[in-house]
Amino acid sequence: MSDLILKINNLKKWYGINKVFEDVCLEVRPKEVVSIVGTSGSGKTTLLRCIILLEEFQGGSIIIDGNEIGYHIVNSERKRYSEKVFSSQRILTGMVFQSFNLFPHLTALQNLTLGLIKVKHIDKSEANKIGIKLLERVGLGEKIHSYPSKLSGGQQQRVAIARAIAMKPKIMLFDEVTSSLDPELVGEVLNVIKQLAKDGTTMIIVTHEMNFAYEVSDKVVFMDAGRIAAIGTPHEIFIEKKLPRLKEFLLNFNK
Amino acid sequence: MNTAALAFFAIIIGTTLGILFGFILCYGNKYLKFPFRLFVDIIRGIPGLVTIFSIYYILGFLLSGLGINLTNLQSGIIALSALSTAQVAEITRGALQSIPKGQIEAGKTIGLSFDKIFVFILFPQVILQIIPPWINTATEMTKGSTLLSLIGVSELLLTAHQLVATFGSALPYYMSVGLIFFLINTLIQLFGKLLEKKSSYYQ
Repeated sequence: MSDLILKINNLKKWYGINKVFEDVCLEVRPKEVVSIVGTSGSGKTTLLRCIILLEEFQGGSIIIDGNEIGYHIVNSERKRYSEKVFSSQRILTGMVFQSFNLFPHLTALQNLTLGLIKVKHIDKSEANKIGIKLLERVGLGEKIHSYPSKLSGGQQQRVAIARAIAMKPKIMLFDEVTSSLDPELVGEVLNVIKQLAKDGTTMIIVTHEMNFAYEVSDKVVFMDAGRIAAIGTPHEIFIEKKLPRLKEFLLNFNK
Repeated sequence: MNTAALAFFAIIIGTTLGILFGFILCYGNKYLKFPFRLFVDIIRGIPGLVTIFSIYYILGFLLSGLGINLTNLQSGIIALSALSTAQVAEITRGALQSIPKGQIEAGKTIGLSFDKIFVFILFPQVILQIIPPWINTATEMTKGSTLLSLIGVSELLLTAHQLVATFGSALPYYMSVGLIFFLINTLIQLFGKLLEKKSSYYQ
């Protein structure tokens, strides 16, 4: 039990009367890299958004590093935590979005230090040091004072990764982070993620880059129609592909 | 002098209240929104002159019932402030709604509470975005201040009327009025350009 960094039990998510997923269970160990692949609309992104509490969920539980997040039981009734608790639980994980979502009015460095200063209450000079070091780590030491509008998509996404890492999350969540990039910029972002994996960062990666998922993952999850249809090693999922639905999905993908 | 001072007060009051109203129009619940929506739609929906007369006669009458007597100048400032508040509220609401939802989400994922997201992410972006339309509103308000001559506020135009009535020869007086307005508005435009330039890093 204690060797798990993330445990998801029977997670249920509905939008009104529309079921997104049901009975989703997932276990992630520290330093593990888990990729989630699947058809669009299968609930991959929504699952990530539940883990960082951008979405509410209607049943089941998510336990991160021993903390059950989002909901607790009061007098045998399931109650949502307050916004304040939500905010504090959100930084257990860090998220990188498909559309970068950098703050356009702040420089690359200020994007990183905002959370450090306003949430972690680290003083400004210390936060700047941390920020500069991280930007250098993602290869943007030259761009610390650039505004997002002056950066390429690949550079923006690397700033976004650094911004999430800066908060020292237990788990990094990547939501199709290369989908809105020009093809020639995909590599630089994937390389940063690979480096993070090598450094022992725990990650959950929703992706359509099958080769990348094969290369970087310890475990691959195949989601289909709101269920986890298969979990296995990259070899089991991409090479053996025992499940007919999975075979079909991968076939469509390689066209 | 009155003209510039009038417009200046109206713009200051209108900007402050307008930004506040704009945030309420965007993030308030529907019961809270309703009176503000009504205010903005009414002010924007009727001619400025009607607003000025309504405030002068109707609000003036109601307040005099409470023993408060508004001077012409005071009801003039209230009217112009109401006009600019409605404009700025609408501009602010539009700017807020154009900020992608991802900005709020990114703020949440780094642990910011909503009030911090508001202060450090939404507010600065809104200010930068509303500068160009705000300049427009400021010049409109300056020009609109001439309408207050009709409720007897001795602003530039009324003063010119009086001078013309006393000394005759309309042309030089009215031309001077035009020139003064042109100068004031050119100054506002220059100020706006400066602000835009300062904030252009962001585009």
